[in-house]
Amino acid sequence: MKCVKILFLAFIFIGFALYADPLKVVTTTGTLASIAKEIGGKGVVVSQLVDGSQDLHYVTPRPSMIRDMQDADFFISVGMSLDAWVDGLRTAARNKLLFDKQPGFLDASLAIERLDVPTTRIDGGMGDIHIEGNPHYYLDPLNSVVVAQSIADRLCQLDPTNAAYYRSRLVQFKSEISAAMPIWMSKLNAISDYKLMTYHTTWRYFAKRFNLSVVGQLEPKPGIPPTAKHLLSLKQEILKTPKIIVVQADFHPTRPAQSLVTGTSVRVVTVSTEVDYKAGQSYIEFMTEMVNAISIYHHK
Amino acid sequence: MNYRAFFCGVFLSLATCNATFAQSVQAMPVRPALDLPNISVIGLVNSTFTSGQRASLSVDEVEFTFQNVIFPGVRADVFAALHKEEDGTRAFELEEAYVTFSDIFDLALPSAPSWLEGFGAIVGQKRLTFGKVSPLHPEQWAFINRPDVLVELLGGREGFAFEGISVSHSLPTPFFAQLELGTWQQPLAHAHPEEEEDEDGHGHESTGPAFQDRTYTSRLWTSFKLGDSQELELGTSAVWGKGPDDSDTTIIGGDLTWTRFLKSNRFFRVQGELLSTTYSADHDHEESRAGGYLYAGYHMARQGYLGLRLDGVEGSSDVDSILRYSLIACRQLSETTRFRTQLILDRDAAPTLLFQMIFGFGPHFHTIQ
Repeated sequence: MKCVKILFLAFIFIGFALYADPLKVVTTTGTLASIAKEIGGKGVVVSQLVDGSQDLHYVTPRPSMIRDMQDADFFISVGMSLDAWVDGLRTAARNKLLFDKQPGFLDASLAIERLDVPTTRIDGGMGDIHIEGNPHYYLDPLNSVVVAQSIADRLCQLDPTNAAYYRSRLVQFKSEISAAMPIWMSKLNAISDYKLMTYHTTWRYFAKRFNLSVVGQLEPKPGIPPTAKHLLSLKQEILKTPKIIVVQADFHPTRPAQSLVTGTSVRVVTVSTEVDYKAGQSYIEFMTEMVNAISIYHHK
Repeated sequence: MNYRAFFCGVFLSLATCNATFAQSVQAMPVRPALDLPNISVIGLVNSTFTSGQRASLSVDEVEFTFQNVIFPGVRADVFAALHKEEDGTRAFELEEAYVTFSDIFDLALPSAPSWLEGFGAIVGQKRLTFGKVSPLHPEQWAFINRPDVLVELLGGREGFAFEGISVSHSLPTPFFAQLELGTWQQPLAHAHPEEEEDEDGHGHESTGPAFQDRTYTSRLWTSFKLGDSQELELGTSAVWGKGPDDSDTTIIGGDLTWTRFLKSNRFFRVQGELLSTTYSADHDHEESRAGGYLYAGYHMARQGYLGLRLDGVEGSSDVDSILRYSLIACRQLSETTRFRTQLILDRDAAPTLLFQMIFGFGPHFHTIQ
């Protein structure tokens, strides 16, 4: 009976804690918003600055984004200079919770094991090279767990009353990803004899996680639009090795890829690179959709 | 102060640091921690073609920028530029040098009550915060030349840059609203903007208002989110103080920016500003002039943009009124490197074609204006 009373009181306590004002979390992208909601649950209200799938390098900051950041208790950026424009918004918002080194600001890339970090001097002739490495880490499902862990740690720091709740949701998220990984892996194993050709270096982490090889990018150098000469050299590659899947983000122009595959049996897979958080999509659903879009190609 | 010697020294020492760093990186797989400011260079190469006049090409400005966070919530920005003067010589000029405090009361009184939060301040020399274009650097504009109304009524070709302090606060409204008040004095180098030549080659001098001694500014900037894909910004600005002959001088303005965001980072923008001023043209004669511009542009993310601008400025007893149209096209290579052309059609003069190449390298940062 004593245990029941303690449990009852504990539930009341947790209930009151969760009914307190939820933390206002603002993220740059829908993917980060989705992960933050998975971990924060009822303890957070999450909004994103950038809608849908966009090239984060070229987002035009809006004053209304400043307003969103003024109200935020916790802001999460992608980091690695992919969304460097948020620094201007943080300065303009003057929300001291979001200053550098404050618990209310998280660069989600900090705990990521980074790929393609340049080890030599870089310049504009090499294209849009990020000195911090390839910033598209969020397309590796295991990196979503790393990000979730960082978010959970920070939520526990900002809202210690609900720390146990956030920890339990982190465990749940990890187990869901662990359960989904073998399914995704087996679907992509079915196309292991295919190679990816991507528009940009967006799928670098994804390909590494699922043991897929990437034979090239439509961009001659990162961030440099495809040229006719470069597409011609890629076409030679396709004619030599027809088991290629061309993958591109839905915000990239489709014409270069279409001209590349014209006259071949290769098809182009166009996918969103961000979770549609506003439509209620979860990270798992997003990744399943991406894996299906790429792997189903095999059966066509 | 000899700016040339000073900035050459700073630049050389920082360049040496960078070179040493680059060599050490090649030798070591792990990047060492650095305590260097962000350094960037932006150059403007301008060319003008007008019927009946010799075409010109000129490296008009090379801007050196040093930026860093110097304390939590405090950042410093220094913009120095190598300008080409009218006689062809070049001179180093301090364009802007200011420190931005994100929350002054948090810094000065860490236990200040919450209602004192969110007061920001800027101390130093800064371009005039008036409307949408005046605070921006030329590489940030959507056009090559300053709108005529700003050349005529707001500081000539370069614009006003004042030394002083401004305090800004975000108002507790459901939409974005920021009020900024400033008190400034005019650096001597900018004391007579009316003597500067108009840059489009039409050869008349700006005869607009000027300030001396203490000058005051205010700006209210608001923004309304109209659904997920549209944003409307409305602003009012004012600058007032004493003119060169100790007369009262006032400039007031209103601005509107409507942006429709489209797929794939593209957007369509309409922006306009209206200015009105009262100032003393000479000791016994008061002038009142007004004018504005309207810009519409289709921006295609990384590729560039196409735009159209209409300029109109009321004349005065000494100056004819202005009515011009501009067609603008921009091809963008990177965030800071682009080619732009602007065709100016004037009802009273031959068409003028401007060409501009902007090149830039290094990390460069501007707060959203």
